[in-house]
Amino acid sequence: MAIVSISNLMKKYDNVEALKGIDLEIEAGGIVGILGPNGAGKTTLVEIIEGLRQPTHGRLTVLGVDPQKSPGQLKERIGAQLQTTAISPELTPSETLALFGSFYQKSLPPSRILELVGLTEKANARNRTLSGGQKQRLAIGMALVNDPELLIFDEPTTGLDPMARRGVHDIVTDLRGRGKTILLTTHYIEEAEKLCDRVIMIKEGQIVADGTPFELVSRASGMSTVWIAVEGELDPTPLMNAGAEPSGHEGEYFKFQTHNPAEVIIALGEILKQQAVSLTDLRMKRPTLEDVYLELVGSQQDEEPPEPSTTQKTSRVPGV
Amino acid sequence: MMLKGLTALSWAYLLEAMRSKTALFWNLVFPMFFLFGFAIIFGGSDPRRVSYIVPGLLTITMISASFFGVSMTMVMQRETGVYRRLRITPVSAATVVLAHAATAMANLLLSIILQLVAAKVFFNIIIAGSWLDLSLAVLLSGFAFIPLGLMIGSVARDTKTAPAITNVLFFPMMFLSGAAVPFFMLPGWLQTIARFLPATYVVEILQGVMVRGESLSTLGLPVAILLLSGVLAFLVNALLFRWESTEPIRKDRLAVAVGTLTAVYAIAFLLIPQLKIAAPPDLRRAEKADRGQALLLTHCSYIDETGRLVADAQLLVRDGRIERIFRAGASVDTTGVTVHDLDGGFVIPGLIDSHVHIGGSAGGSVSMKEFSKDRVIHDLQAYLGVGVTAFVSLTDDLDDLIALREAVQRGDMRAPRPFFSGPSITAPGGHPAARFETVPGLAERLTRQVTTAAEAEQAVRELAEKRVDVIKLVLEEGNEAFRKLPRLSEEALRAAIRAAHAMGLKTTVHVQTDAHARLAIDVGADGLEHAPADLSDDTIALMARRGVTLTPTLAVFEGLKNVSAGTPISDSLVHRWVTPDILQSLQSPASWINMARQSDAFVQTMQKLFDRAVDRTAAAYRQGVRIIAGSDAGNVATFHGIGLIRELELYARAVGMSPREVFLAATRHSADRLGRSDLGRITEGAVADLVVLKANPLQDVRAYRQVAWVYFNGRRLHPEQLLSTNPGSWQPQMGL
Repeated sequence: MAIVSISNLMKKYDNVEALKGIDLEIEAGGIVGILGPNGAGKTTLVEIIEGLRQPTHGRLTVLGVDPQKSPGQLKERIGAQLQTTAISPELTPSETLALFGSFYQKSLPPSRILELVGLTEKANARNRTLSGGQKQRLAIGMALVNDPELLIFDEPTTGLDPMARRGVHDIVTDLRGRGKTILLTTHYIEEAEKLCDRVIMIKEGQIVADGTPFELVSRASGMSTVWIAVEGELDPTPLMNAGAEPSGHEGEYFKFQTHNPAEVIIALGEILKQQAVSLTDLRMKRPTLEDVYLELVGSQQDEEPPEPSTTQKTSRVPGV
Repeated sequence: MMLKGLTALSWAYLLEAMRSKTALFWNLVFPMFFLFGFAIIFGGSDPRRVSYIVPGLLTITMISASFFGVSMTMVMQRETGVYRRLRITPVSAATVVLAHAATAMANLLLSIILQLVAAKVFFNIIIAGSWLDLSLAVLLSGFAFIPLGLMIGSVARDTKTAPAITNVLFFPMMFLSGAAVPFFMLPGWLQTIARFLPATYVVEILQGVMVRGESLSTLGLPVAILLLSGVLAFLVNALLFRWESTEPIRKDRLAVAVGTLTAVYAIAFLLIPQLKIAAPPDLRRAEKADRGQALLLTHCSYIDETGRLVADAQLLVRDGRIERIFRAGASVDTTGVTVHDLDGGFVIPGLIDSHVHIGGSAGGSVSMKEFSKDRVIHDLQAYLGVGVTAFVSLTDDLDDLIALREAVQRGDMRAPRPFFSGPSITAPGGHPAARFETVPGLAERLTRQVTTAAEAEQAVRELAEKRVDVIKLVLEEGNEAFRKLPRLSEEALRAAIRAAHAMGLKTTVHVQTDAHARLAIDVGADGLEHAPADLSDDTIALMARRGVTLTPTLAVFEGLKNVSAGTPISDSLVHRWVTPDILQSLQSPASWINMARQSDAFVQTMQKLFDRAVDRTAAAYRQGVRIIAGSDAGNVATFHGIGLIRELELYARAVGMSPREVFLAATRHSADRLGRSDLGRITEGAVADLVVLKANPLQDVRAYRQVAWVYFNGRRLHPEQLLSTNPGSWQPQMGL
């Protein structure tokens, strides 16, 4: 059953078209990531789903209801962490969660939520004494008070250091394990790749890619890179015949680009049989989600520079 | 559901405010600076002046708590996204707004309570009205102000515009409403503008309750306007509330909101022709609140015009008169009638002291305070406090008394009903003119010194034109040992009495000796003042036959005896109603009393004069002479108000008069001498000047000391508030 069902959704602010016809179905369970640069329309999309904004055009049901028509019913069943959540500095996490719990017909006890988000030790500290990561975990906790079916996290890790980010990732993964449907926006490609069961890429108000990270990568038009190091004189012609394009040397390595790495590897096998060379090392890099992203979303840059990657696909990238 | 969220959100807001040092400072500490600043600088730490200032201060505190606190919180929460986060929960806008309102109300009440406690503890302010009325007035004020703060919070664009809008509203409210500047001092056109401000009506009701002692029921129109304004302002908030800063401010809705409130105050402007705060504070008095109200005094007994107790009665009082007297069981229609349960009290007519001098302090003539205007005003309150609701002044400044009579009749001054002779008529340089000669011009004001019949007639005619109530003549020759004084001639005395009678005025004659008394009676005097030591039985018999009254003034004889003998004053009533400096002046070495006390002869003379006065009064009483109670208060150690209570005790205990005659001497007989058949008695149609005693004075004369309440002109006075509330506009011209 589709938890979120969107067809031809448009949103126009004054002169700007923020969403230009979105069609989207989200099934129950798993983590759906909405990836896109700032200004792509991610927040607009989730806020329309949350009922905070009214679409200019299009049809939308969330958990089977129209957010504009029955907001009350929907609010009881979704939980959201907004991009910026102001937390009352003088209350404690425990009081904050109890306060938000009071707004719902049914709610989880604060102690249970604090446990879920790992803030039990800070239960009675003033919110203003919490670190950035702790505040974000509290914000996620606030989204959990009504034990919602659908969780919407809008850039939950933006501005956090790697450790804090890891903490948030663990919570989100844990929630998936509890059977929740989680919709999260991010502009961190690695985050989407690591966490999401499904990634939706948005560019300028339109969906440009939709699928599992693996699907997206395999569907991508990007080239794989193959590095070959040999002893002896290598004639690369069979490789080129197999579709490899030489792209120079890196130290002792020959570097090739190819759309069809499997063919190139077979060709390399033939070379090793026929030519007087022996293979000393072979490395290969498949296109990543980042490549897909850059390819589909293009050079549109984030305002924040992407942080250093912590999840390299190749374990040993040849040194420069 | 909504209630749970509302409670939780209000509590959270309150916790935040209580935990934030800045919020605490502005909510609770800052108003204290205002209080202390205003009370010390403008109130001079004087309880009465501070009491007048405090309602305005409370108003300022409430405006700032309602406007600044609420609007800034709302704008900040909207700007920082607190509202967005709330918006994705099921909590409604109404809940959020109500939570702000509830928190603001809690803050406001806390702040007001602190200020009131501080004002009470540090400045001993007097709250004339009831605590219940004050509490309701504060709640109502918050109810009117807080929605305005909510409106600012909804309308303001950001944290910079909110204080700007607040200030634009705050300052006019502060300065035009009477909160910071007395309203009556504003020019008329500013008063007109001010009447479109809610704060003006808040000051009106707070001053009404706290200064004028009114109940909210008598402030119906301002109360209704504030209620209406609060309800409508709250409703229009629904039009204005914004979850997000990016939502546009609906100018059309804002116009509706402002228009609605302007309409409310336009109605107020039309419906309430006169604001009471527009009158200077002197013209306002606590008991004005009861004007026009009908009262039913229940659960009481009363003493009738014959001096007999009527048990278990109910008295219906309307427009200052006793309208009907019912038996206890009778069913009385009490619609529109306020019922006062008198708790089994004994109701008597207000007492009348038939011989006083309000210009005299009863002190030793040494301190400036004795000659101050405040002293006179204080003593007028003391009369009321002990149950004396009328007096007859025999020798005081005529213009002051005429002004006082008019002020009391208009209801502009809380004082006993003054009856008076004005000056007394005596011989040139005679008593009491000789006593006043140290102050130039004083003797001329307080006496008419005449020699010939024509001069006497002229003096009486002049006084009659000024509508005096009685003519006082003086026969006195001074003292051989001390100082001889010229005495009013028989010719002048006779002419004066004849002229007075021709003009329908009664006369009474100050007499020193039996010979004076005989002369006065011979020429037709209606009454004698002071019981001479040598008053003969023959003269007494003549008095009885001719119906000449005697006002013995035993109190002044006793006072003189006691101070000359150095007897300490241990009367608790004196200590309650007489200021310490008057009592100290009696002990002052600079006082003439101190010198007189050195003379054994003087001390013995005083003792003898008192003993003889008692003895002669007793003789007169036994012979059937009508005794009229008068104390000569204002003379040495004869204290205003208390003097009459002492006089009555002496009648009962020293003279041996029956309780009934003691009662009549201070009520009906006194009124009859003044020709007032509607005064000094409890009958249907009589003036409702009443005293409620806790005990029966027909059983024990000490009951006169046990005053529970005093009703003046049908309005209840609270004795404990008399000295602390503003009595009104009248001030004596004589006096410092």
